[in-house]
Amino acid sequence: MNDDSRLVRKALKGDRKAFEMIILRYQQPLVNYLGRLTGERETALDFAQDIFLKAYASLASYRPSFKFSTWLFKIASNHMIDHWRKKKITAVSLDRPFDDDDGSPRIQVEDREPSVARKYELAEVRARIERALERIPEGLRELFVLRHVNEFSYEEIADIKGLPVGTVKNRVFQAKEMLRRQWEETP
Amino acid sequence: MTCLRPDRMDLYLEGELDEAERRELEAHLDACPACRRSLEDRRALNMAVAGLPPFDIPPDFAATVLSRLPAGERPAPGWLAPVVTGTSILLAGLLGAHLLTGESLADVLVSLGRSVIGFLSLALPLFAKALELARVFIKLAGEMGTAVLKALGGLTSLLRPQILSFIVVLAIVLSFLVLFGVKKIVSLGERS
Repeated sequence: MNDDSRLVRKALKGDRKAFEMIILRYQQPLVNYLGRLTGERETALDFAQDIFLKAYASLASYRPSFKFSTWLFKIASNHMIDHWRKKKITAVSLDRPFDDDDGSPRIQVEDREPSVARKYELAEVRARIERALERIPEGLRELFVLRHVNEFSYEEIADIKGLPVGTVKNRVFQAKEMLRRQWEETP
Repeated sequence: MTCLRPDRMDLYLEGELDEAERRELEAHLDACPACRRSLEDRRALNMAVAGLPPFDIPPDFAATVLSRLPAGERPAPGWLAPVVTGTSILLAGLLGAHLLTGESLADVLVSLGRSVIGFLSLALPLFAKALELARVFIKLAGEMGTAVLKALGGLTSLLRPQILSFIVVLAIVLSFLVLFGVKKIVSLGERS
């Protein structure tokens, strides 16, 4: 049994210190994920609190055979989907293919552009990336953040989102291409 | 010479290609300055994304979450909700029958016991026949039947403990009712 499972078992017996350990372990990756998706630190912190409370309430449903991080981010992902739905933002449905197999136009990739990283200082590049990220559709942005900010494997992302691994790879790639385009267009 | 696909380059940078693909890609990179430049651009973007600063978290964040947890309560055990729900439905059903029919709770239980016995007396022979049919089917299906049984075995192991707990508790309650009903029937028979 891994360390997370032991902490969960203790928390289920009423050990709040164990749940505090879980929070301390996952607060940073969770807030980074939420922050990159909402673009607002305060909202990310509020959401992270809600997600930890939801996780606590349904702790008994956690199965030790799965990774705790995957289980927690599944809750977080559902929370974000609810948030986007409530805000009635035009979220790109994860059920609809992102040009990957429906024959619709793919993103045209120009690979011979001069390096942007060579043109700008790191801080400015970061600021531009953050702005560019905000302009990517939520569904794609989430997959991109899970992969490149939270550094989940494609298999773990597939588990979190309930999608085939190949689809996840394809969409993360599309998100990155969009990011490249936005990066080049964002002042 | 065909230049590298951008998605292959991304997977290469992420270490997602197998050995043969990686060697093939590197061989092309050795010979193609344009792809090398493109790869470096992609590497720079990856590094810039990885270098995004983490969000600051207040030192009391965990304490704030803990303060919002229900005071003095443990997370509900997984089996509790289905057991409570099942028992509540059963009790509500008994009470409802008692109120509607005006019969005593004991009589309601006897009726329920009879119904259960009646159901079982019908269902068990059918179940036995179904088993016989299943046996014949499995025999005829040969390897396919074995595969189906293996799949069913896997499904059973996948059943969540809550569901298993619920099934076990339901079986215990039904057994109790049947026993109680039989006892009542026997005692009525003795009186008459």
